[in-house]
Amino acid sequence: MSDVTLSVRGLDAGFSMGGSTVMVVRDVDLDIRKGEMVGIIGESGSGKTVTGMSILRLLPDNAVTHAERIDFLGTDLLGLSAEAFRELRGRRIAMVFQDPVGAFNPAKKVEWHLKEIFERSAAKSPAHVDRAKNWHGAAIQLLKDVGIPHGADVMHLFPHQLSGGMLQRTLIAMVLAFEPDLIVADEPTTNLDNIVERQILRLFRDLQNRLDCAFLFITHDMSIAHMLCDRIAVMYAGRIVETGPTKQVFADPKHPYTQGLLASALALDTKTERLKEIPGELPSPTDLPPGCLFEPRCDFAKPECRAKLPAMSDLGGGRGVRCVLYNHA
Amino acid sequence: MTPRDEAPLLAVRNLLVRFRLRQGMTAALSKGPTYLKAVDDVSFDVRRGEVLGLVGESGSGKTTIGKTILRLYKPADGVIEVNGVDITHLGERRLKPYRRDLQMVFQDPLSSLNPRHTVRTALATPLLLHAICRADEVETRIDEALSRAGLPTNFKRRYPHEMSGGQLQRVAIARALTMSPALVVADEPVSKLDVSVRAQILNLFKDLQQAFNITIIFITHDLRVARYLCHRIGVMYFGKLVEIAPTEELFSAPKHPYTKALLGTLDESAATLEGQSAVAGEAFNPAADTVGCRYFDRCPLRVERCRAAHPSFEDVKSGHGVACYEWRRS
Repeated sequence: MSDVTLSVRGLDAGFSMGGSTVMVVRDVDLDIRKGEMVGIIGESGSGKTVTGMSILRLLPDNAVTHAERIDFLGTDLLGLSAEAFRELRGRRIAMVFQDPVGAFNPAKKVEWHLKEIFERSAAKSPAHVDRAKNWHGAAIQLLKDVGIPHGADVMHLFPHQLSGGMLQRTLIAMVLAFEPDLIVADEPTTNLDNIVERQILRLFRDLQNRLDCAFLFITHDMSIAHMLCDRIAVMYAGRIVETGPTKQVFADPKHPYTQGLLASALALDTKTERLKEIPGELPSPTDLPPGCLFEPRCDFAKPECRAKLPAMSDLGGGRGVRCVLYNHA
Repeated sequence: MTPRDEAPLLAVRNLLVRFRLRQGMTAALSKGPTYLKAVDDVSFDVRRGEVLGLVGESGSGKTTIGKTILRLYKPADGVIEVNGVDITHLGERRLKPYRRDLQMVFQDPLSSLNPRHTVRTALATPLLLHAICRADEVETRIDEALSRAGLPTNFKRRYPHEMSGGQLQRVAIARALTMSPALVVADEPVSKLDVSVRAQILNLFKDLQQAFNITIIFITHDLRVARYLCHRIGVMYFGKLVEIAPTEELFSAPKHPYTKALLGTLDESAATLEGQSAVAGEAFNPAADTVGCRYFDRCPLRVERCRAAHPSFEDVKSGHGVACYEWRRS
C-alpha cells in the first residue's frame, strides 16, 4: 500500500547487560498510514516505549535491535547511516515525550526554540522560506492555536518559567511549525493534571486534523487510546497480543489480557463494590513463561497454552490476536 | 457511647503550612511574597473507622496536609488533634506514641524502603523500636502482616529490588499495619502502579479497612479511585479545601465549580473528546499573593466579590461544606 508511512516487520529489541542480552521487544509488526493515529498500549515493562525508541534509534548504546524491515516513506531505515538517520529525524519525524522539559534547551528562551524550527523547515519549500523570514508572527499565531493567548510574552520566557502544561503546549506548537511526516508521542500527558491533560489531548486531536501525518501514540491509558487512536496494538511482556481498529477492540476485546485490562481500566468509571483483578504480575523479561506469556495469569489457560507461544491469528477486518482460543483457522 | 468516643479521631483546625520561597536579601529585595502557602486555613475531621479522601491536582496541598498531620512538616498555624490531644507542638519524645499511631504509605514504595534492608528488617525495625511485641514474637508478627497484605511469608528474605511495584506496595502496607495504627495516611499509593495491579492494591485497602476498621486518609488525584474507597471526599485546590461531602453526595450534587469541572473530566473519559466544554483559563499561581478566590481565573460563576477575598466555608447541608460565594447558582 502506497499510503503507508511507516511499516515495521519483525522488530526485536533488547539490552546487553553483563555479557547476556535481555530481549524486551519481540517480533513486533506495525503499519501506520498517512493521517492515521496508531496507539501502542501496554503496562510498564510491556516494551511499548522501547518499541518506539528502537524505531527512532534513540536507545542507549547497550541496546540491540534487529528487524526484518523498517520502511519509512519508501526509505529503508535499517540501511541508513547514523548521520543520515539523524538528518531524517530532524526533518521529518517529531517526538513528544512524557517530560517536556527534556525537549527544551534550558539556557535558551522559548523564542529561540521556535525560531530554530522555522529556520530548519525553510528548506522544504519557497513558502517555508517566506514563513521563516516572518517567523515571529507565525510563532505567535501557533502559540495562540495551542491555547497560549499571550504568546509574545511567553516567547521571552525560559523553559523553567513555564508549567508542565504550558511546555507541552509550546512543544506542540513547535511540532505544528515543523510539519513532520511522522509523530511519535510517548505518554505525553502522563505528568499532567486531569484538566490540563484533557486540554492537551484535545490539541493532539487538532494536530492530527491539521497535519495529516502518521501518528504513533504510546500510552498505558486505555481511555486515552480510546479517545484518540484509529487503531491500537496491545503489548504484553514485549509482544503484541492483540491489534485492530480501536472501536472494535474496545467493543469486543478478544485476548484475555485485553479483556482484563479493559475491565480494570473501565471498572472505576462506574460505581462498583468490587474491582475485578488480574491476578499475579507481569513476568520479568529474564524469566518468561515457556508458552503463552499471559498463561500464568489467564482464567482460560489450558495445558496447550504452556506448550508453545501462540501465533498471531488473523481474525479479518484488520484484527489480530495471539491466543489459542482463536486458533481455529 | 460516651461523648469522648464520639469525638473525631483526628481534628484539623485552620491548618496553615507555608514554604519559604526566598531567603535573606533576596526576600528583602523581592517584590513577591516570601512564602508559598501550600495549605491555607484548612479544617476537617476524620472519624474512627472512616476513609476520608483528599482529592486535588498536583500542587493542591493534599500531600502536604498528609505529611503535616504526621508532623513531618511543621505547620505555621492551626491545630492538629489526635483523640482530643493537641499534637501540633509536641516535642519528639512526647510525640513518639503518635509516631506509632500515625502511619503513612507513600506513592513510591521503592524509595520508602531501604534498598539494603530485607523485607524482614524493614518490618522488624519499627516493631522493636516501638516495643510493639516481645523479640520472640517478631517473626510471627511479620508473617501475619505479610499474609494479610497478600504476600507469601518467604518474601521476608527479599530485598526491594527483587520485587515488583505491586509487591513493594504490599510490603509498605504490611509495614504500616504492623504498628496497629489509629490512622493511616495513604499518599497516592496506586498512582505509580499498572492498571492490572492497581485493582489488586485497591481491593487490598478495601479488605483491610473493612476487616480491621482502620481509619484512612486516602490522598489521590483520581476521583474515581476516591469514589471506590472513600466514605467522604474533600476536594483541594491550590492549598484550599474547596468542598467536602459524603462520596455519594459529592458525585450526585457537587456544588463547587471546580468539583464540577473535575467530575466533568470523568464523563469525558467514558466517551470521546467531542462536545464538551473545556475549562478555560490558566491555573492559579500559588506563588502570587492573591487575596481573592483561587479558582477565580477559571471559574464560570465568578462575580466581583470573588476577587476581594477567598470565600469561607459554608454548609450546604449537614456534612456537606463548600467554599464558594455563588454555590447556590451552580
